[in-house]
Amino acid sequence: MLNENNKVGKYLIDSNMLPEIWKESWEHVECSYEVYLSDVCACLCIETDSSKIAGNLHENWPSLIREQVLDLGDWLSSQGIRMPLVLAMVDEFFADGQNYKKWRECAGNQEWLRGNFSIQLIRQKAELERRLEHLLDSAAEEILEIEQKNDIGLAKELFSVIKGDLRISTEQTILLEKIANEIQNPGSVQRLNEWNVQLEKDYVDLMEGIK
Amino acid sequence: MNRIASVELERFKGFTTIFRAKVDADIVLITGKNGAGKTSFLQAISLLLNGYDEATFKDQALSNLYSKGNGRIAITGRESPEISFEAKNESEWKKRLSPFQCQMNIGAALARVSSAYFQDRAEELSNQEFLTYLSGAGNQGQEVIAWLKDGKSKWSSLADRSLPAEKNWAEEQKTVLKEIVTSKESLSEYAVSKDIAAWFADFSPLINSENLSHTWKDQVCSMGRKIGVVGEDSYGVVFLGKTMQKLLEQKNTLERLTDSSKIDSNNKEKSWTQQLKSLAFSVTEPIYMPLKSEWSDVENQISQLQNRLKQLANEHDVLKECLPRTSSITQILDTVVDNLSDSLTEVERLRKVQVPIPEGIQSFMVELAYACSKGNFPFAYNEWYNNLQHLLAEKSQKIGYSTAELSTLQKSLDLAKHLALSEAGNSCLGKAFGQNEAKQLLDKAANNLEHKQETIGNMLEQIAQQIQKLQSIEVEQEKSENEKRKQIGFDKAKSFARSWSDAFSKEVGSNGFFASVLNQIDLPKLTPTLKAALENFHLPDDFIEKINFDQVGSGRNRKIMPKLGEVPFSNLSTGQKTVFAMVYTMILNNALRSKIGHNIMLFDDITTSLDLNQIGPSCILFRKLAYSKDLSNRRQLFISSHHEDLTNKLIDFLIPPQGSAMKILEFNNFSQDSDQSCESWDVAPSGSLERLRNLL
Repeated sequence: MLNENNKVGKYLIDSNMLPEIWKESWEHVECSYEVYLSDVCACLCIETDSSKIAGNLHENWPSLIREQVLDLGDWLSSQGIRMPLVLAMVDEFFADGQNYKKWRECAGNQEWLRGNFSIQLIRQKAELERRLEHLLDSAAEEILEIEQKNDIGLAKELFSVIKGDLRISTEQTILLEKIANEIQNPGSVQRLNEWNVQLEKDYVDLMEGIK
Repeated sequence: MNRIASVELERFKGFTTIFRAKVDADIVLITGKNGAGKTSFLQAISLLLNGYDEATFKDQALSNLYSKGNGRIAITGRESPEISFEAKNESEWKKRLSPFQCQMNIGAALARVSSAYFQDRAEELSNQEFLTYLSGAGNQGQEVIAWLKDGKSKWSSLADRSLPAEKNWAEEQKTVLKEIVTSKESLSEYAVSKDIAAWFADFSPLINSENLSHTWKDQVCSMGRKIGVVGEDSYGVVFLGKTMQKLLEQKNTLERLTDSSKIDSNNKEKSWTQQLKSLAFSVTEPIYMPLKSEWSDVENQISQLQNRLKQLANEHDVLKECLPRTSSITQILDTVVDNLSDSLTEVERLRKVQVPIPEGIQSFMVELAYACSKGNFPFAYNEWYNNLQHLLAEKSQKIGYSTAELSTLQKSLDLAKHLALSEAGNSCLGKAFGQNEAKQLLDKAANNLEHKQETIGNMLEQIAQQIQKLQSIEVEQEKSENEKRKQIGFDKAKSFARSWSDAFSKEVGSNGFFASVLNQIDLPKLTPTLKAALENFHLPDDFIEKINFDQVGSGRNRKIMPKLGEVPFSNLSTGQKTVFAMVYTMILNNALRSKIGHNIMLFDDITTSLDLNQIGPSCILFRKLAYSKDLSNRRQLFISSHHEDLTNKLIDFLIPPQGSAMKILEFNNFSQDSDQSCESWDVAPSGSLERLRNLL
């Protein structure tokens, strides 16, 4: 299903390793499948075209798939492998609504799943590789360290806002520039207070007609 | 610290004695029934590694209640020395700080939230600590916000300042002057002394009730000078102040006079007659007691009055002589007037007949008609008569007044002479007025004097207050004039203040540029990882597609509120909250990794609110954390669960791969009589793809 050089290829179980009887069950079904296994989980990935599934098969389709997943789990257990089992379904025709809704119901049905496996529905094939990588690869998580905003960073962001926004008044610009300049060093509020006192003096001078 | 190898607890919460557990594994699954100590065990680890945080521990007794001695928690790391903490009592537990220096930046609460998920504290995921850490703790932003608020309030008050409204000063002055005139008129009713009367004699500042005289200021000044104001000041604040001062001084003088003139029969220093005399001098009515030096003047006045009386009597007699003695003239005049018209017509007719009337009669009638045409004789006669009567009455009245005045003067003079000259003024008064009358007269005089002077004093004070009002008007008017002169400067200053008030106001609100920059947090960059993790779970599609981090509340209550689709975190179901909170804890742990200082993560009782279907996806995330191929990125997980079925499921799904380790600790039930203990199992590793390939 995925290209040969995909990131999750290393987790793919070769088809010839899978039990014959299990593989035979797929022969009459219009879908392709692959089985992946990593230290994180086992995943049965099915690609299908739900629009082509009709009649009785359509009705029994979830049960059939469920049996296959459980059989796969049993086979893995018999090989000494116990880990979470995931059914990943890719169907570009999920968009037609009905089929997708049906599978959503299955994915949330505790009685039906009995916690033996979980279902992930993938609407676009382009998403498949990323989803499988996230699922299978234990080292795939990117470490996103979040840093505190420091005074210098704050001042920088403030300067870029002042430059970028033309709607602000002269006084607001002066105020923000003053804050941005002062905040870069400790004790900024003390210096801002002194500046404000000077502004108040200007106010008094205007009142007295000195300015 | 990357991994804990063993934990030792002593007298911590429910642990009565020493409890030891080997935990050297990537995942430690803790099971046991309710109350077995699973949560306390995890809390102990959090307390030791993250420090005491108020939110988790404030309502809990951390020292064991059933045993005596210090409480203690100790952890031994796989490759690091023991970390331990001992506390005698609750207040010492509160002093526990994280042993990791790097954690100082984020604080105990955030370190705990991002490394430990406790089922009963799922709501904390929308925590304030993270927001504070991101937006406030590392910069001076919050101090600047507080400064902006102060600035806004200061500049708003300056911008809202306004000049006092212009008043109708003439109207205000007129109102007060009317009050002074009313007071002055009331004062005159109290028979004030001539001096006091003179102060206000020509004070008339109003032409009528509506208009001020153009000389009213001069009149106020004139009044002030009469009261005693000296100096060159013209009408104004200073002059009015002095006038007011003088009036109050006069009032005080009056009070002193009143006190000194009271008759005190027990006063032996002053004889009764001296007191009487003193009193009599102070009273203008009804007794006038001339001084000895005035006696000759009074005698002259008496003599003049006697002469005047004689003259009036003569004039009266002359007028009386002028009165008609009979009514004959009235009768004649009435008859002539009544018949004159008919008589003239008749004479005119008889002059034209053949035998005319005699010449003399005709001439008499013509003369009479001419005289009558000149005036109304009966009216003129009556008017003359009435005037005569009026003059007579007037003379009689004047004679009466003069006689009374003469009598009073004579009595006063006699009294003064008696009091001054005789040895017994008392008997002299008795002779002049009768003993009883004299006593009543004195009492009345004393009362009158006291009452009158008190009233006059009050009224002077009232006038002083009215003068003060005038002064206040002057002050206010002067101030207003000054302000008016400043109007141009004021307008400029106000506009200046308004501009700054606007600038500060815009910055104070949450939409202010500074606040926006400060509150812009980096959370959106977490969302791809968050979404990828949530895709494992069965959640509505839009919960995953649209994840936002809203900020709610303000000030100290401001916090992050994750929103899934349109649903805020607080409105999610308990299961959904657990899923999201668990995933969010993992993401936060990643985001703050270098600040937390350890790689230990705790998940308490997750199975309580997760359904069976969510166990698998949860285990996928646990495995990614604990069994990561990137060893430096591995976390050691402590997961507790009490639900037996779900715990078995957890065990199945968490079986470690080759090269990783998992332990199960089963806590035995608590008992006050026995030591706390647990059993432990190592879980054998699972097969792997490589092994499978080798096998097949």
